[in-house]
Amino acid sequence: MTLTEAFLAARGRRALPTALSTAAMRARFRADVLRRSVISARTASLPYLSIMADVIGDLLSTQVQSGRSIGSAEAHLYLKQALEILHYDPEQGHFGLPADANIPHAKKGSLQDLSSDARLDLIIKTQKLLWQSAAQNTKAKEPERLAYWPAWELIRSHAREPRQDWESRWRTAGGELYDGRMIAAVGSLIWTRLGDSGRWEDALGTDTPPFAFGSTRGWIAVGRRECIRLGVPFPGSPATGPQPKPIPEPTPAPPSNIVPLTHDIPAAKATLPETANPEVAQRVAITLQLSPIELGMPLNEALEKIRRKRSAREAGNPS
Amino acid sequence: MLFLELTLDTRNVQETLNAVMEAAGDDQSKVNRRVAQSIEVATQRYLAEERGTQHETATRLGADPTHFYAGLARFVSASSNGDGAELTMPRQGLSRAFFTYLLEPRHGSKLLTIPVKKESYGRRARTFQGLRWSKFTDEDVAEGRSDTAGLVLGKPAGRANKKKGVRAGMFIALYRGAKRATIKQDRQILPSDQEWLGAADAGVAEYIDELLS
Repeated sequence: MTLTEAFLAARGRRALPTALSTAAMRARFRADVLRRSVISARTASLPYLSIMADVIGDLLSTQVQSGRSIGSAEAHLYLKQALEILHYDPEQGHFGLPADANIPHAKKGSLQDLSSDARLDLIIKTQKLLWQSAAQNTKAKEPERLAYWPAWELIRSHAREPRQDWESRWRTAGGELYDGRMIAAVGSLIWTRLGDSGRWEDALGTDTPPFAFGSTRGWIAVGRRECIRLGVPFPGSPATGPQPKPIPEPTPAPPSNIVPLTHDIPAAKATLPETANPEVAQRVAITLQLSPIELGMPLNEALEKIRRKRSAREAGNPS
Repeated sequence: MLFLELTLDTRNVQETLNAVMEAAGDDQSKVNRRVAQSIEVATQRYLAEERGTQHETATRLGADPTHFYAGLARFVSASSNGDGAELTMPRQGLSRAFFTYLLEPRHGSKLLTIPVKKESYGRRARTFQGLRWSKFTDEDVAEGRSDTAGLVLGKPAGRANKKKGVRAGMFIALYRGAKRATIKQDRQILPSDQEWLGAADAGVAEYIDELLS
């Protein structure tokens, strides 16, 4: 899945208005329903969720239809303005919909207030990280890439106050530290466990970063040679034997039957300001002179070995 | 959007590389693919680990860093063909590594809003409510009518704060207005040519290593 495909998948999710809290949603809906839905705890407005789907989609896209891209600040602004247009008031019955009667009133500025900076930032940051990571993960599982970049490293957080328990979560999930680094094979169960909402209350129920609400953790690919040097097991490593196999990808989100935004509230779309700057494409050419190649053995011997492997491969015997 | 066209100069190693590729039945595009992936990951790691920024503005304002460059890491992607590799960075800001550029307001805005307080750093002016433009002289500042001179966007302080030297009603600027801003070139926001070369070498080594392992 490329970022563009992630954007399309994000766009393709069905809006699922609900008065339920996060915990109640988990109890009520299956994980795959939640994954395929645009959903936000205690948000019963379909128009708002439709706008959210649009905005998150635009945020992930490198270039939206109008030829512009938007950043987190614009996404924040668009959502805030949409809430204003929809007369959202956390202290006076939210959107004023019948379903809102089941949602407790929220203090302005609190995380339960959909229009608070904290809530909007949390949604934007989490959605952006989730979809970008999912795109990275799909790309990483392509067999040709997996052979050379077989592992992920969970990298440090940029949070203002990073949570301190990642290392213990990592170990609980079955992870090992290599030179102090949290590294595991692409597709390893460790990633699934790390985001398992059955284990940790704040987990997002995903196998990709940021794994938990409020987390800003990401991951970076680790090369095959480095994995071997550090002793990280991965399919096809000298320690584990078999060649890497493609890891099946979960079925992508189905095409949406979401009501197009413009049919819902034309006024909202028309009022949203155009603030993003058009991208200016610039090209830079760099020439890299490669350093001498280290074969670790005489050239003739290396060539012979490569030819033997090639013959075996062509004869259908990769070993 | 920044496109980095990477050409591999293989004169040093052409003889060995040709022999290896011929023995493996590969062509240059396979080597270039490894190099492209290696440079992509090296660039992502450089950005994610914030090796090229000291967060000077955030530090000066006492604000939390926005981690702008770290956030761009995921957008870096590489492609390759038989001639070389291309690293694509489809976000504004990274071209600063190679160019000084002039930032001007667009889409009808007349002024850029440049944060002058930690509260406004990393936030769009539009996300604040009730801000207004005002112009103050140095004399206004000296007499306590505003905390910042020039054309500024902000709002009057609700109550006095002796500790911060704020009087009730004093204008508190959150942004400075500017018709344009020069974004100076800063090569360090992206890996150096030497680091990219190291990644290219590692890509070639990965290619050879897999053939020999």
